[in-house]
Amino acid sequence: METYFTDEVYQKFETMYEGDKARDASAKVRGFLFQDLIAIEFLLENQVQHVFLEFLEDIDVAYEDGRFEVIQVKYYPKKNPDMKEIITDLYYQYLLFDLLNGDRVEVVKIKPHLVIHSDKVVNKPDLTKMRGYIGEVLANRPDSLKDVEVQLRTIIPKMKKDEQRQKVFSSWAYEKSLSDFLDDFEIIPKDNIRQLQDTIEIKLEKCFSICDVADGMQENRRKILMGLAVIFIQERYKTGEEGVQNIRVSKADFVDYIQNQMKMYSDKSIIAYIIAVVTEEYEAIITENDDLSEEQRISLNAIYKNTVEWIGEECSKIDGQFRIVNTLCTDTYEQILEFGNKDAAERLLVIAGCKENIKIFLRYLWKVIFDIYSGGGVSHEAENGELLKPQNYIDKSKLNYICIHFPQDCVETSVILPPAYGVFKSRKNNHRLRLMKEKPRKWFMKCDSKLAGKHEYDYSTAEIVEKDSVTNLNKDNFIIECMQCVKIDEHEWTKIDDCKNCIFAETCIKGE
Amino acid sequence: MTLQCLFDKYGYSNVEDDVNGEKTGLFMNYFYDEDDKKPSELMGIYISKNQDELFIVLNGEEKIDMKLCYEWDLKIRDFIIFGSENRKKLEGLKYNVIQLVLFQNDIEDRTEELSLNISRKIFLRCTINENGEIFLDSDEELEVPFYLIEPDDLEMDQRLIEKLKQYIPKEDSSLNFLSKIRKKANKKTKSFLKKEYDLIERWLTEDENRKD
Repeated sequence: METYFTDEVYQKFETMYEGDKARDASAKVRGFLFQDLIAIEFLLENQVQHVFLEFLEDIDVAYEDGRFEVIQVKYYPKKNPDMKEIITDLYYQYLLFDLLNGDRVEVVKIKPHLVIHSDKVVNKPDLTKMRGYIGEVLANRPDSLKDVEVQLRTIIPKMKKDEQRQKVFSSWAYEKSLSDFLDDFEIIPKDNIRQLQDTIEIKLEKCFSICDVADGMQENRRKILMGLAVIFIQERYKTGEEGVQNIRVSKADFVDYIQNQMKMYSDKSIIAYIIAVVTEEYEAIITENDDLSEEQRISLNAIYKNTVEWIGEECSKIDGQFRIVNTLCTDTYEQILEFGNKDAAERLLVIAGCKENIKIFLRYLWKVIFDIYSGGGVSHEAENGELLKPQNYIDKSKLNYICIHFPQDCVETSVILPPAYGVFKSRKNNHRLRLMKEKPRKWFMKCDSKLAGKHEYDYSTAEIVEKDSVTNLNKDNFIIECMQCVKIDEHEWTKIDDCKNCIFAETCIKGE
Repeated sequence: MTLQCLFDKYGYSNVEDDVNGEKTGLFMNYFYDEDDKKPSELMGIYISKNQDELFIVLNGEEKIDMKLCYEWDLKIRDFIIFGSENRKKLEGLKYNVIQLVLFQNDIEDRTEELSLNISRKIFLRCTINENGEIFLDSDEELEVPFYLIEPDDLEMDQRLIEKLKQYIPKEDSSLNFLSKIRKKANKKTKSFLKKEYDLIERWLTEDENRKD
C-alpha cells in the first residue's frame, strides 16, 4: 500500500527522537493505562495506519492521508494541567519537523493534540500566551537550516530538556510557526477511565463482531476482546530495543492479532479474559479515587502492570489457572478436582464465575502492597520498584493455592480470600474448606471481628487452651484477619493503612 | 432402653436436621456431604440441654475404611471454626464433641477410639432394628458419659445412716463458738478477763498444729 511515510520521513522522526531519548533517565514503568486505552481507540479508527507509543510524544498516530498526530495524554481529574509544559513540548516537535523539511513542501503534516480527562475546563491559549511560553521569536523563518539536523544529532541530546527547548526556540522559532501551531492544535476532552473502557468495548465489539456466540458467552467475549487489545498494546512496551520499528504498532497487525485469537477458545482467551478483569478493577479504583496524587497514580499503575504480567504468566498454564480457581472459586472440592480435565471454554466459564472474587482479591492485594510501598519503602530507590511487584510476594512452592508472603508479616504463608459477610451465611464456603487442607498460617478475609483471631487446624481435647492466652504460633494454628483496618473503598486509597500494627501484628486491634 | 430414649431422658435433643441453625444457632450442614446431603453413616446429632455438649452418632459399619473418625474430625473442626455466628457457643462446644460410633458386629480395630484429636470417640456394640431404634448391648450403657446408674438399684444402708446421725451436733451452746459475740472493750484495763485468758491458753497449748 502506498504511504506518505517514507524512509525519509522516518529519518526526520528519528532525528527528533534522538534528542528526547536521553532525557528520561528514571526507569519508570511506561504507559499509564489511560494512555494505552487511547492508543487502542486510535487503532480502531478508520484511516489509521500506525500508532506509536511514547515515541515523539505519549502517542503518535500516522494516518493514511499523511496526517501525523503528536499527542500528549493527560489524566488529571482534579488538577489544572500545566499548559505551558504541554504547549512547549508539542510546539518543540512541531517546529523541529518544520525545520527539518528545509525548503521542501512536505505532504506529511504534524498535528499537535492534547487528549485530556479533567473536570476543569481546558482552553486553547491565544497567541499572546503562546509568545509568553516560547519567548522571543524571529519575525521570519530562518534561512540557514542546514545545521539543524547536525545539532539535533550531536549537541542537543546532551542538553537537559529545558536547555534543549531554550536553544531551539531562541535559535529558530518564528512568528508564523506559532500561529500555524495554534491553528493545528486541538484539545480533545475525554471521559474518565472507566467510561473510556466501556466506549472501547463497544467499538471492539462492532469491529470484531462474530456471528455464532454461545449463550452466556457474550459478556465473556467482550472481556476477551478487551483483554487481547490490552495485551497487544502492553506487549509493545516490553521490547527493550529502541528504534521506531519496535515502538510502532500497525493497525493491520492489531486487527490480525485479534481475529486470530478470537477464532477459538484457548488458554490465550483465558489470559485475555482475566487481564480484562484486572484492568477493569484498576480502572474502578482510579475512577473512585480521583483525589489520588499523580505519584500515587503512577505507583498504582506500576502495581497494575506488574499484576498483568504476573497473572498472564499464571494463566498460561492450567496449574496456574487451577491455583486461582482453588483459592477463589466457590465450587466444591470435587468440582474443582475436575478443573484440569475441562477444555478451555469450560475452564473460562469457571474462571468467569469467580470474577467478583478475583476483583476483591486484587483490591486487597494491591492496597496492602500500596501500603507497604507508601509506608516508607526501602532506602534504595532501585529496590523500591521491586516492592510494587505482586510476583515478589508470592510463594511459588505452594502449588495448590495463591500463597502470599508479606515479609513484614508475623507468618510465612497467608492467603487472601473473598469476604465472609458480616452475617455469616450458613452456606458452607467451599473455598474456605478447601483451604483447610492447605493450612496457610494466616487468612486475610474480610469478616466480622468475632470470627477474626486465632484458630486451630488441629488440637487435642486433652489440652484445653484458653482463647486469649499468648500461644506461640505453630503450624497447627492460624489467624484470621478481619481486614477492617485495610480500607479499599471509594476515596479511601489516599489513606495509607498501618499494616505493621494491624494485619501484620499477632493480635487484632479490634479483638475482644 | 434404646439409645434415643437414653438421650431423651437426659435432656439431649436431636438437631441433625437444623441445617440453617434456626433452632440452635448452629449450622448443621457443616456435617453434611459436599452436595449438602446427610451422610449415610450419620444417625443423629444430639445436643445437651445447656448446649455445651454434642454427641454425633455414627454407624461404624457404613464405611469400613477405618478413616471414619478422622473424616468426621475434619468436619467437626470446620464446624467449630465456622459453624455458627455465636462464637461463645462454639467455644463452649469445642472440647466437648464426642463421636459415638456404633457397631453391630465385633469391633476389630479400636485404634481410632484412642484418638483425642478434635473430638473424643466412643465405640459401642449395639443392635439396630428395622425402625432404626438402637439397642445397646448389656453394660455398654456404662460407656455413655452421662449415663447415671439408677439409685433405686441400690439399697440404703440403715445402720450407717443411724451412726452418721449421731455425729451431727445437737442444738446446744457448744455450737456458740460458731457465732460472733460482740463484747464491749474494757477501756480501763484493756486486757482480757482471766477466764478468757484461760480459754486462749488452753487453745494455744492444746493446738496440735502449734509450732513447738
